[in-house]
Amino acid sequence: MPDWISHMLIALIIYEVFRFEKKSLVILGALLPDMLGKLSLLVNVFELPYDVLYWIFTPFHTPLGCVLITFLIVHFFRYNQRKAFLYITAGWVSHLLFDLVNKHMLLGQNMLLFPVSWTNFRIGFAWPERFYLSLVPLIIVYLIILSVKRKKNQNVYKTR
Amino acid sequence: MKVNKFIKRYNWIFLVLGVVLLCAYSYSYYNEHYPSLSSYLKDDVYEGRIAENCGKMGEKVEDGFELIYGKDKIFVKTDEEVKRPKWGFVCVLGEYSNGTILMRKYHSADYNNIKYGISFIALIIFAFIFFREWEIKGLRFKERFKGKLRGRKNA
Repeated sequence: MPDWISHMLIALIIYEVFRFEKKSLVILGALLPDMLGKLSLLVNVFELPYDVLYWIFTPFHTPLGCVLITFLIVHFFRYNQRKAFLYITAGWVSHLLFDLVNKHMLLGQNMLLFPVSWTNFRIGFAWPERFYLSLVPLIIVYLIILSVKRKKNQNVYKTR
Repeated sequence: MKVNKFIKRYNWIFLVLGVVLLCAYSYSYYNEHYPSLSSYLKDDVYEGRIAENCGKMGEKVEDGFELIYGKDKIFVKTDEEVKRPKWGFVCVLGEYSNGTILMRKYHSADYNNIKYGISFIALIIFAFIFFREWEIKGLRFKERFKGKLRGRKNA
């Protein structure tokens, strides 16, 4: 997995580019697969049985699991449920697609067709611990988008 | 009409059921696809299967090292010189054989733990952004303002 700042930056880029209303929902979606899926990392801290946690939480890192969880989560918002669903979905789709860049030997958490297939999909660009390879370019892209938007806004005020 | 109303009102039950079933399916059948370390240590059905296991590196000897993940420990046999990972873990791809793993490939994920630190910072930033846009009202989140935050400033 790339780090959460990278996932968050992608969510922010999506929010800026597509002019969504609620950035927090896009970010929530972008972190959602790992928030639940990575609970299995507790095995390192508490010496719990490896397979119990890892495989119970793995479906949360798959499209079907994310769809179900998104349908559940939108119930907790007093907001247009279609919009909330769209924003959260945009977030987790970006997360799952971005995780494809990870290199793995055999096991990864990219079972995009689960439960139909257990195949782990990957493009295999870099090992997960080399998160800086994505983090630095994303910071640059986000800053460029922000500065372009700022300039556009300034021009609008000038013409008024 | 009555059925539609029932579905609308109680659809969350079906969703929770769906999530539980998905998790149960994953837990019940993972060994057929990716037999884990603890399953192999409990049952020799997985003898000869190739699997990937990641964990801390324990004691190192001439012909291998000990791989530790949670409660499980296994000896990894190899002729290769495997470096002890710094602030991270080691992943081993190999064949389960006689209570050990015959290593084929390995990857040392050095400095991987830094990523978790960075991710924790992201969680704090997310909480800050989230509660700027939403407030808790009863059991649900209510938006603090309509539309975008930036729009409100200009209004």
